[in-house]
Amino acid sequence: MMKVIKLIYIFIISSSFHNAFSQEEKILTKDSKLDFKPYFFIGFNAPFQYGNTALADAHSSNIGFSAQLGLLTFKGFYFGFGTDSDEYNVEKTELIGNYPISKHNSYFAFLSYEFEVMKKISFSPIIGFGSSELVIKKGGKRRGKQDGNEFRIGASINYNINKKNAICLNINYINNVYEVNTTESLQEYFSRSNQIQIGLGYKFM
Amino acid sequence: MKKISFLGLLLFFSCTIPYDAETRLVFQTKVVNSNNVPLKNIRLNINVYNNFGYNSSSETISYGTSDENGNIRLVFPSPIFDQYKINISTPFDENLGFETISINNIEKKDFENFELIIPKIYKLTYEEAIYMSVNYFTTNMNKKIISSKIEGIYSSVASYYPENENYINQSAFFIKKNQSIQLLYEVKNIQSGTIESFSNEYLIGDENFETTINY
Repeated sequence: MMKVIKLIYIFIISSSFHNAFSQEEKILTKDSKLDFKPYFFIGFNAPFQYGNTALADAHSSNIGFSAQLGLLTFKGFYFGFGTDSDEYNVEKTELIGNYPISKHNSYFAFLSYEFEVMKKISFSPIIGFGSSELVIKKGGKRRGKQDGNEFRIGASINYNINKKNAICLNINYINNVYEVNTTESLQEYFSRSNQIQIGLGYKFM
Repeated sequence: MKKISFLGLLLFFSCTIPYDAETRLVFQTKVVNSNNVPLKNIRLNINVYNNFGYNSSSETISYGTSDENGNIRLVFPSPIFDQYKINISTPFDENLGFETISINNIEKKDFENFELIIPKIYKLTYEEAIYMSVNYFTTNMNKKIISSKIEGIYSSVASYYPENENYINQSAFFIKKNQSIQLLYEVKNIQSGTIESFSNEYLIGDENFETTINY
């Protein structure tokens, strides 16, 4: 399932780049018909894990990477795909294992809506769902992974430099549920993660 | 020097041990001395290994130290047990004056509901312990020794039952002098799949001890 999603990603991203850069100037309009208006977002994120979970309790977080590709628009709504990649340092070896990094990757579909707040400022709530994986990394190699599902809800404030470029500040709540087989007392600890993610990035059409 | 470098290279490449990250195992024990006094700050390693010698792989997947009450609890991802086994041991350089704590041949079946609890592990001094070895000889090639353990005061269990080898099956233990122990072992009939359990009692003195079991 994960491989299929990744292949769809590669296909969509590669086929959309050409369109993204060759189209005529786009204007933030709320078309009443379904339209193909790709944009690309790339940025950094800071994940803040909380709760009694393995990622919050036994790891420390690092700055991660985010990317999104908006594809279709309809009456101000945008549909697209996104990905996050974050590395966490293992801080409690006795609870996690003797390896230095747990890497979280997610691949999600999203729906957003853009409100114009001021002349150059817009506000976009976003909701997304997809798959995720938590990877054991040791010696720079993948040694195993937990598969999971991800739900996210959040918003971004966009400073529109011009009609094709924007700087975006994001805040998201992200919940993951991972597959795990362990003792009853550790089930929740290893199967859940909750984070508030703050991101900063650049969006261009 | 070139040979050593080549060997090092082989070991380096053979050390990529895969894990089942969706299975998290728990190991719990209490480290005590021969008088049942809890010992704190005793480090235990959980090692994953698949063989000895050429083409072997091993690494430490978890470690931790005992608390004030001698208790230690380690949680770690499961190795792929078809290919690997687990050994629990103290590091050699933290063992001066004591017999090594080492329990090998731990398999998936030893983790009941993902948890292995060994109520006590004893840390014995050289003066307190003797070496006991058990040689297993089969009289029926359809039978295979699959496990052996001791009920008594011991610090180390090293078992060797190669998968395709019926002649050289051994267990070795470092155990406390002057005690009565039970040796528990299991024999599997390879054809029928049935497993028989046996128990032998031994009175241990203060000399090293060797015995042979025919099955």
